[in-house]
Amino acid sequence: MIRHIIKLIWNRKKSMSLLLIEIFLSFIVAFVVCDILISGMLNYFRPVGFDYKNLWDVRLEATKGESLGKMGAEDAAKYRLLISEIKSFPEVKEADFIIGNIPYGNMRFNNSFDYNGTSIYSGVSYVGDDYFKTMQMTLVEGRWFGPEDNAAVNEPIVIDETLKKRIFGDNRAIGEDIQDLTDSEQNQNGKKYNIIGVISTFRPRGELNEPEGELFMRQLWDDSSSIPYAAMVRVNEGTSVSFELQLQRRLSSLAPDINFRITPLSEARDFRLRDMAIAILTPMIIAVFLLFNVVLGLFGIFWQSISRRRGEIGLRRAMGADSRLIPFQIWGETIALGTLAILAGIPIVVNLAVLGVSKPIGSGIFFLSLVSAGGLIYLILTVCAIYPSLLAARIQPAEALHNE
Amino acid sequence: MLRNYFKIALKGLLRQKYYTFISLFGIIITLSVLTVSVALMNHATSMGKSGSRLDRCMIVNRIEARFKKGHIISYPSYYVLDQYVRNLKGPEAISIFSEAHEAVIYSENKRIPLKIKYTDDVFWDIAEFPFLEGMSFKKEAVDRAEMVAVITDRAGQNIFGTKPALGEYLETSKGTYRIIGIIPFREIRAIFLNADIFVPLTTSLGAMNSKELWGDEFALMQAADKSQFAPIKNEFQSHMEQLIKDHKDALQITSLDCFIGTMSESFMTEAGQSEIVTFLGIIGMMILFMLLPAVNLTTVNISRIMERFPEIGIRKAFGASSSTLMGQFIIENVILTLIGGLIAYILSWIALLLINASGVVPWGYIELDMKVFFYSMIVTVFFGIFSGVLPSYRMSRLHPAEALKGISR
Repeated sequence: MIRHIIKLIWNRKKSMSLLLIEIFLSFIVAFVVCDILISGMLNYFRPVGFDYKNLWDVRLEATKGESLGKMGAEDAAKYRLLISEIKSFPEVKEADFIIGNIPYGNMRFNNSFDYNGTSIYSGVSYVGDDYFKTMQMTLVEGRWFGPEDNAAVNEPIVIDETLKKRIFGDNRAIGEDIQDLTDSEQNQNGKKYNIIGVISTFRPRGELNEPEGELFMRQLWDDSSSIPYAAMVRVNEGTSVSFELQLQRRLSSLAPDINFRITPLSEARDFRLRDMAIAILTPMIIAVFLLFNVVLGLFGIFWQSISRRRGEIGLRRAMGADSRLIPFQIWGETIALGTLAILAGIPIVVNLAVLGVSKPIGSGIFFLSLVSAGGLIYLILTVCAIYPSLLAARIQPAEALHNE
Repeated sequence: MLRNYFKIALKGLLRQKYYTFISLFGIIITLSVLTVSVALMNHATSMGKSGSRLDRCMIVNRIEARFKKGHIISYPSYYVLDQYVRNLKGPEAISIFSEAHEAVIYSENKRIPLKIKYTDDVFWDIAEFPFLEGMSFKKEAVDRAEMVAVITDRAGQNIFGTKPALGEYLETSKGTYRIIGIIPFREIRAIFLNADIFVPLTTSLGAMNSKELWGDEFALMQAADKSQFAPIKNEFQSHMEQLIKDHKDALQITSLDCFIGTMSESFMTEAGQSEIVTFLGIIGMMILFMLLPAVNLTTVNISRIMERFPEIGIRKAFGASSSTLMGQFIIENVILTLIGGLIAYILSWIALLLINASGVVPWGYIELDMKVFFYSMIVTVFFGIFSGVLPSYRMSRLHPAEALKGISR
């Protein structure tokens, strides 16, 4: 049967070739759609590693000091006063400064490290001891920073699960050392960091982004720290706008040379999700229209080709073919055509993955997208073939042959 | 003759309603998406209407420095722009202004997040925004750091509702500004000029005193005409070399790259800055996007022709030449695509109205201008010819007898 169907397609290869190209292109579009949609959905339902509710981003825009320099005693005292002032409000549960990847912020802080000769690329944030409680993160292994780290020889760091998996796989990460790459290039004994804890995957860019790996370094917010970018502030449930104004005024009066910008994280999250949703939905809508257009086109073509093949089908029926089997034959032909197109499309799709446009081949998402894109094409072909093939089944052999 | 073709084409199109519908549908969505994309791109890559002073402006909006240890990409600071850009001889006018910062206005227990921009007085001369009410701040106001502000009409509505905004006071965390002018927000075209509130640069506390190279500021340089761009760029480079020389010892700069160019050049470098692969991906998607409806249109056209075998056979039998038939079919196809193009243009117009109303593009007002229309029409005609050539070639080679019989492989 299959050989017979392939032979039928081969005999009409001229008219089939364009159809083949069309299904091939549709398959690629379907793959891209599935890829974006599936990875978007999976990311959205995965935890981000912190609780955005009742969390405020208090951005500090200071009159800038020395570039990449240290705070110095005067600034350190000022910032320590600021954070203790924030914490003294009864509405505030917990607060800490941060330099680096502020949740739902636009800035992105990355650095390269070195572990046993392999370089590791990761997001980096400099935070204090209270950051863990402020963000309500979850610990997987080891512990968060504490006063016991004050005397540490190698600077302590905490990494997230994604980064841990990337570097160590299933091996133990606690107690291992990594090196600063910029240092190790210059002299062999670069600065060492000791991993003391692993937290669950942390995605500061929010729900629609891939886990990228995050690394936290400890800051004491003293003379040797840099100037913080923001304070993350966890407030009590139901804290109102009037407190925001109150906080803003209090901080401005304490440090008039700093511009304070307070944004509830839920608001920043809405903005970010909306932006991302537009970036995802626009190509989706366009692709759906494209595929719909293809469905209409294929339907017309199948319909017309059935009416052109009345003679052939009539002959088949006259030779004793079961009228119930005719639709299956037509359907089989379309599916065989679709399979050929998909087989041709797979190398392209694999190339997309190799180039990094879609998810890597090994990941489940690639496989899932491939299968669902194939499924979608078969579904489209089936839908387009149903009505014309039912028409074909109704062809009366005598009538068809008479017309011939 | 052409009128005859036109009549035949319309009759044929009306007779084969299903195929006409599919063809039109494909043409319309492709062209609508293209037109809207072109309009958006056009909006994002141009600073002002052609012929305006903004149209012959270049911007400095990115500074990239490498040190012995580390690498920084940022907006330039006021210090860099003031010391090394403001004294350029080439440009006719130079304006320095900050990026739009978030500024929250608290009004009756409601927080209104808006964007505030710190500008100098030259900004208003170059931008040439029409004023609905009041006027811009002048050089004296900037020198004296007067607390005055120009706001957009949209910001005025957000804060004051229907009450008149002119002369009112704005409470920001930086102080209280008096509103002295109102401009229509939809006249702001470039993303760099975008803000809700414009105040004198001198009222910004940090920017003026910092001696850092990176900050939050841009420079806008108006040239006499576009041919002056190249000499200005050369002069600019020599100033940047001076900048490296001045800071080599203190900051250990090894190389410094400061972007200067037009809006569209800036747009391209921004895109190139992110992964090149993503860029290729977008181009690939665009090609795919064009190709899929084109192939669909071609296959539909082939089917459409096959429906008309008897007609073609008769015309051939009566002596119509292959090229006549081919020409006829292509004209028919172009007519179809032109109709589609027209509908697509109206649809894109509606789509842009919706986009403008939804506030997805936070600044300015996207318009369909004649340039966009011209481009989409070129695409339309190309589309029509492209999808008509193969089917009509195939058809024109038919033998009349075969065509009359209605058999084809």
